[in-house]
Amino acid sequence: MDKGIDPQGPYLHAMIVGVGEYPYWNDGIHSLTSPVKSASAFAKWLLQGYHHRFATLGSVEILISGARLTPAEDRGFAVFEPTMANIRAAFQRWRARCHESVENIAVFYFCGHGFEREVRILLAQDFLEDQSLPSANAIDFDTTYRSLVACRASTQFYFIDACREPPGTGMFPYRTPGTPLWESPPGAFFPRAAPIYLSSPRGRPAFGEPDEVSYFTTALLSCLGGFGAGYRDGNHWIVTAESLATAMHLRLADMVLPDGRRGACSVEGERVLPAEFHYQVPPASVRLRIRGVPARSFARTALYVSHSGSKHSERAPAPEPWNLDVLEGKFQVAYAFAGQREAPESGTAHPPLSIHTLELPS
Amino acid sequence: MSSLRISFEFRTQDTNGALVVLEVLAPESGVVWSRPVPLGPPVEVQVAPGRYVVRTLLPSGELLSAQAGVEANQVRDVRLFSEREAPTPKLAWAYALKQVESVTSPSDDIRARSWSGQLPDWMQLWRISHRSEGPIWKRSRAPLRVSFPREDEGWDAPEVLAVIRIRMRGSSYWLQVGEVTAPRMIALPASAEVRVLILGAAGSETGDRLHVVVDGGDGTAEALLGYLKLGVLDRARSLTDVLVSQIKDGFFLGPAAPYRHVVLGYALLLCSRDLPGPWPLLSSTAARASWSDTDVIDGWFALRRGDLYHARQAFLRAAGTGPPAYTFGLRFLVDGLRMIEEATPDDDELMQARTIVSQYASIADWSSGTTNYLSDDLGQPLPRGARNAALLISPSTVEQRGLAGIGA
Repeated sequence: MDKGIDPQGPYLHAMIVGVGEYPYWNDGIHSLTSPVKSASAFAKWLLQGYHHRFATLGSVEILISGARLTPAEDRGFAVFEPTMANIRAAFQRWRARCHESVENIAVFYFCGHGFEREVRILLAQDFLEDQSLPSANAIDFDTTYRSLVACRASTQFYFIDACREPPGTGMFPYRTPGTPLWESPPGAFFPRAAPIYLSSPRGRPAFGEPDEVSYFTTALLSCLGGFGAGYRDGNHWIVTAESLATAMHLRLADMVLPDGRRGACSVEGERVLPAEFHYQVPPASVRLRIRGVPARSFARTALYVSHSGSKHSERAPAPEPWNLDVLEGKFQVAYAFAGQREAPESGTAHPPLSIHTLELPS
Repeated sequence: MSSLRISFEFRTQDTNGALVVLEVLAPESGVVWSRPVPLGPPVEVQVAPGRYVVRTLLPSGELLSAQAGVEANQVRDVRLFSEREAPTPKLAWAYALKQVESVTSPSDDIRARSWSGQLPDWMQLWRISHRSEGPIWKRSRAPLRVSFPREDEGWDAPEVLAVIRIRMRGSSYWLQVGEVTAPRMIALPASAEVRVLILGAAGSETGDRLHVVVDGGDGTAEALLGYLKLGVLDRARSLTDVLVSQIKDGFFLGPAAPYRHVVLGYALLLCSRDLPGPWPLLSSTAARASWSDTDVIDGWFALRRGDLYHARQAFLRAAGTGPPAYTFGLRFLVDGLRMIEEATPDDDELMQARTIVSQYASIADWSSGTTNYLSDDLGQPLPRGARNAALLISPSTVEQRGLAGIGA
């Protein structure tokens, strides 16, 4: 999708890659269903939900297995198969557009197979088409990322939803270094904010349920849809690189992954400039956590919460804090300790997390 | 005028003056006050009458928040609580400043073997001396104190296996932790005293299953490192500004100075647009000799100002000294060497250096603060899948020459 670029900008230019099919890799047994859903969902959000105070949406390069978005998101945009050749061609177009203005925002999203040893490698759809040259269709993300320091767009966001396990274990036995999508001439350093949001800590897999949006992308969309609000500017909540990082940590930590661990977001990359990604129209979403001290008293306390934007909720006594997702605004917490209902306390839910601590009798 | 008296209602005693970024927000108008404050004593913030949210993100990753309304000329107490409070004041540094991984209890067997009061057989402390013929590894006799949680100490932390305090005398130290098949080498910061917390997992018999947390004893440097690891660079930038102004005021001396400079150097590279001239620690030969971090930072400062020759020399020096103490440094060194190599593809010396560093980078634990990798021999990174019980370091080894592939 390309709106017909005005070189003055600023624009957000995005490149979205969702690789679900790996037909040459062990006859396709490593194909995935979640990346198509996840990349389609992110594309849909970008096309319909993205707002920025200064940079409008300029272009989106979409490469998704099956060469189409999921039916729910399909609006007739040109979508390409995520083969290495297509990815490389789209990358060159995307990079050239991003380079047109220092105020442009570059967004790179990838969902599919990946691994990590010395560098992060992302696998294109035609990975292992030539079995004798596994690095040919594997993207060296780190070199690509480093090279983009020579791109004028001073704000660059990277979302990598892929495993970070080392090769040589499990299903990937190769030690290929991969191929960068671009290598910039050395010496060009444009200051940039370039956070990389990664779906897992190094050495761990990323997960997605079959035919569902992945855990990482679910958390990302949740943050972009309300939980990632950083600060308020008039009628808008601004999602910054930092507020997105904080919110992603919180959202993923809420998720229990199929391996039994809690989700975790790893945020890397340099950021020598402040960076805004998006603004949201209020109300923002908030994680409201009700807890109490001392802990042994809290375990015997029934809780009642009322909030202007949601229905009344209550919880029987339990030792752990009570987490609720609410909209920003005023709330009231009432509680009953040892059968005695106490007067309600009030507060204001403020993103991303509001903690209300009840100070209870011992 | 009204004010909020904000207190930290959890164990902070042993955080060594760590600064954390505290924010006061008015729900309607956003942040009204934001500043790095010492984690410990109460903080009084003057505000206009109204309702406020007070919050801080601990370097451990825990977000604390509370709120209160204050009327005109009133002082209102606001109490911040932690849900991951340290089990004892002695471990506040770890639980407030570090991302302590939640693991299950170590086995009774390991625990029992740890209670001797001595460095147990699955730990060794090594020291590297740099000589013209290459690095020399020696078993260190640095004074150290190992303590293990015991029921009679009155605190309960079943996941904690051991706490070690090491007094160090210059040079670079590695802690080797782990059992038979996969000992892990862990770099210790160039500080006068280092603290190490070791957490174990049930049935743990290998270094892989131990979670090791290292602290150089300087609260603010550790807090800065925590913010960098979390990717919250706005907060990191706040602490960086404090440290830079301390340097300018000549207030940056003391036993933790070299390692504080190193952490600051990485922070500047990650979150500062305008670097303050050449890397300021270059004159400190002692710091340079101990770890390769200073050369890595020096190289990147040069790279940022377009001096590829200086950067090349610095990265080669770094690769010759051994892996940096900090994981950030290892990443920067790998990236720096690759960038220079892309510019000069036929540079054999550079290619050799990158091959050596790649051995460490390919198996380093990037989630760790200090460089940390599995090893089958001193300084020799062990490729995954090539572990061999026979390769355990023999307790009788007291000196070994040469860091494999590096130096002479």
